[in-house]
Amino acid sequence: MLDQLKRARDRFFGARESGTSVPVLDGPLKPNHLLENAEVFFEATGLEDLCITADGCLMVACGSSVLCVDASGKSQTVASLTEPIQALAAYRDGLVVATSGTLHFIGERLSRKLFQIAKPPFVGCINALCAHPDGSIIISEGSGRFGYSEWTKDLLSDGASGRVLQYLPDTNQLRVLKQGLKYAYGALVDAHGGIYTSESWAHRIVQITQGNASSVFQDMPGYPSRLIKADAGGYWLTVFAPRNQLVEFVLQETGFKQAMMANVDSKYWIAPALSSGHDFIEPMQQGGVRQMGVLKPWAPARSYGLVVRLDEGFQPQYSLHSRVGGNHHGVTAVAEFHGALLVLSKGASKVLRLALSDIK
Amino acid sequence: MESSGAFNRVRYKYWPDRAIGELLSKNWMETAVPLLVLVLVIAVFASLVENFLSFTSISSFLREGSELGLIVLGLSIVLIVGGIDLSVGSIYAICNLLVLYLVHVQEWSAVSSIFVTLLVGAALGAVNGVLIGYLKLRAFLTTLVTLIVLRAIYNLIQFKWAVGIASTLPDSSLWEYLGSGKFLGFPVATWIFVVIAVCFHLFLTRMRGGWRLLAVGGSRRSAYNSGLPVSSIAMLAYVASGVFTALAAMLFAARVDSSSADTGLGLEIVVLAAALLGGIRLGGGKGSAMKAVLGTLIILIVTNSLRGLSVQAGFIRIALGVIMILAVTLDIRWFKNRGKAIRELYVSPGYLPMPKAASLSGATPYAVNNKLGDIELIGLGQVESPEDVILDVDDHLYCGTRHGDIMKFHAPDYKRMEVYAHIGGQPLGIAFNSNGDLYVCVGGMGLYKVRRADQVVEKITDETNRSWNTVNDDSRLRLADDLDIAPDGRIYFSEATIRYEMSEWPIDSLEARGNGRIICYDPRTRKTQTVLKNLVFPNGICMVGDGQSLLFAESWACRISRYWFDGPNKGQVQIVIPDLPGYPDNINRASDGNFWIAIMGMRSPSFDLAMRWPGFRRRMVKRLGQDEWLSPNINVGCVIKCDLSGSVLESYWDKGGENHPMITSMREHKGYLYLGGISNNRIGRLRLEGTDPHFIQHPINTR
Repeated sequence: MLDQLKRARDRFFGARESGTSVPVLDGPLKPNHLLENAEVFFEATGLEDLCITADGCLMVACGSSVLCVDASGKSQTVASLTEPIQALAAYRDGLVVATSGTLHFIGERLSRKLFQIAKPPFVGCINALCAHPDGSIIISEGSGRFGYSEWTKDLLSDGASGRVLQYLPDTNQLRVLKQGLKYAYGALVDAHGGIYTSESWAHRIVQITQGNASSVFQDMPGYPSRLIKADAGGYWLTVFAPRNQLVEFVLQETGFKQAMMANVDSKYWIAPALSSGHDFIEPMQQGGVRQMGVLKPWAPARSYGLVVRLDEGFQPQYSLHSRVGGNHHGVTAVAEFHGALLVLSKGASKVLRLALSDIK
Repeated sequence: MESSGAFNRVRYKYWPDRAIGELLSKNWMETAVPLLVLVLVIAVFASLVENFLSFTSISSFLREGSELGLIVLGLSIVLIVGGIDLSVGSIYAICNLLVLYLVHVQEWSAVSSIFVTLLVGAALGAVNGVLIGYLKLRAFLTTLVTLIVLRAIYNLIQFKWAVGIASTLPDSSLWEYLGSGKFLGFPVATWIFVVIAVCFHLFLTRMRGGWRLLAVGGSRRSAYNSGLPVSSIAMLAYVASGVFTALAAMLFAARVDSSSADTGLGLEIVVLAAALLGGIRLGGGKGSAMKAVLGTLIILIVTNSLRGLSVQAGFIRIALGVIMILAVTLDIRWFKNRGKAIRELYVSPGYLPMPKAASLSGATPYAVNNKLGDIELIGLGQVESPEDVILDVDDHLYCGTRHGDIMKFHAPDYKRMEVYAHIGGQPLGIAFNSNGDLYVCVGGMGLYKVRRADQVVEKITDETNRSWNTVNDDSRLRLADDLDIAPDGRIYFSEATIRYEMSEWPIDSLEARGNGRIICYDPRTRKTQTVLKNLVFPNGICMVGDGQSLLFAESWACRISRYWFDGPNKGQVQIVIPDLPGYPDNINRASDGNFWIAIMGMRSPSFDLAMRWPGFRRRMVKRLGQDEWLSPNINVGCVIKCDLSGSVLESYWDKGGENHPMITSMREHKGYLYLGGISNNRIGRLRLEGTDPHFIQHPINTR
């Protein structure tokens, strides 16, 4: 009721929450075709996350196994788990890997150690990990209600149950750094020990300090996800789906939204997606009608490929794109490896390779 | 609330959203709104105030109204050229005093006094006019200053002359007649006002000067560029305002015969409120005599009635202020954004529960394949928007393009292309009659014919009978879509929607209402008659072959129906396929006696759901730009074949929608299937195995 009144007020005075407008891709976010034209480095079904271990090996989470991929693209299974892997990070001289609600340690010292974070019956929704210099692990959990694969449901349910956690393996302690986030997706620790995460449904990156979350980069034209440090200073940010005016509108249409979640297969919801355009049952918007055999580049997008380079102050410097109608959409992870940027497109289930010297 | 089907069905079936939107888009609505307010005001106060309708009260009311009305007319002229005149109250006071002084003290004749007063009014208006028109000062500030200065002057001379005026009585029958005389039972002042208002109306609507006023107010720059003397027109508007005010002051003086310190005090607010309430725009370029009159009457009734109810003067002022704020809000929110508001109100989605779509799974005739994935393409990049394709007996291929041409591709290789005929509007469905003349449905134009002998384009019909129960005139054909010709020569064609133009047809998909119809043209009587109404985007039309019935497709309802136009079942409609998985377009005969149906796009579950949420769609239309609206998925289509009973036999798909997206028509001809699409730049050609290699859909009668 209060929401309805607020919306009525906002509509009367214009903009604010009632607005369906979306920031445009401009300035450092000006579209290009770098991601779409990038060389395919590695391809497998079920790709999820990337990391580089302390000894410089590239580790790829793929389905329920961890693969070690060399510079030529040859892969070798390092570990196999019983559940799909949702995130991984280098930890000391090994790896820490997360399934839906459990941390698994792989490597020498802590090998085979398990730690369960999710409390049944909820399966958990860990989606990013990062090692803290003090030996703890920073964990982001997207939602407290829906599993990782049900992220659109969390979005359409106005989800605000994400958490950032800190786990100390030595003492087996788990601390909640911040809860009530609108889908925490990504974990980053900067050189001074500051902890950051992306708050996807709020379209911003936040710094977590003593139970508070403060924006460091906001009003993004998409839903941000994982973050890593760039070797040359600054950060890489992946944006896994674009914001769309129709989706912004549907998010405000409580009744329709619920009817859609109840009656329609989640693939065909009016919601962002990791890839789109391959199924003619998907919802479409009028700007997306092919004219004379051409899909207009400004057509409204359900999925998009976007990687943003941020400076030390989390301000965007430049970006890599795969535009509407392209294939390399739904980017969820990046890594710097042998002078190249590896980009994991979950939508296309490919790892792309761009020489760092080519993309500035 | 909204998800409950029964409520929505009733709400969206009987509540006249559509009629309201159409009514509001009429131009005369701008005058109808103040008229409605007037009726309301009369109704309210007639029940509250005693003697509201008595003859004496009406008579004095008319005298007062005429004076106020004259000033409102004057101010209207200024508002129409895009200015504002706040000094009317002071000019009014000065002229009032002046004419009294001349008649009472100087004992001039009434005629010369009035003449001089009008001149002074003109001169005072000219002060404003020169400052604003030629020196380009801001109208608001300038007239605010003259308001104050003239009021000060008035106070000085009023103090000197008041005693003289009060102590003498004029001896002039004309003066008396003006003040209290009657003609045909109505006060003289009222007659003067009526004559002036009528002249003002004629001037504004029928004469060059009036048009120039509107032009300057509508767009000053354009008026200047087209050579109008903008400065002098603006100046003259203020002069006119001064004269009208002087005239009103003179009538007031004749009626009351005395002056007081507060004559005309606060008058500008009353006058401005009246003009705005009547619907005269602050921004300029809009206004009429009728609006000024209506606004005056409303204001007068409100103030007089409040006075009659012995409300304190302060409260009346407050009421006026509130009315003015409301009027300004209306002015900004409605008149300024009228186009947008109408567009928002015009689209009126309906409730359309879609039946469950037929399955596309492997075991069904709809199973997705890629038979159209690598078909031969004709005219790639040479034709744009070939909605329908057709072949003649010599195998030449014809199609329409969005440039308004009928193109002809020469057999046998279809490489050579020429413009067969230029029509001007976009050709949609096409058919040959038995003489080989080409009949074409042209979007936005109607039904046309291209003669075989000399390729001359002739209009066959562009209107049908008007329905008695619609707000908008629906006799004109807006979107004639597809046609077929009965054996006796009658032409049946569909009009997809009566509410949108050719370029706007996607909007109709969001309405999902019965906006379309099937129309019959009879060449023997040359009469055009609507035969079926309230169809949901009727599209393809195809004769069944029994001379009595035809099949037609309703795109947004995803169904195929059969309609009997003759024989024992005449007038009946029977649904043949109720649950297509996509949006049907054209229907044509196949060589084996079955029917081809083009499916221009596929249903998506979210869009189907939205069909049951009219409010959702209405808000979407209001709040999002057109490119962002939900749309039927028309990037991938297919062709299906069905028999007369409605069982689907097979389907042909272009799975990726790359080679031949959006199929709107297909035509079987001598063992090949030719494909057209309204958003394509190509025509497809598919070899059909095992079909009659001599089949022609429109054989020429050799009789």
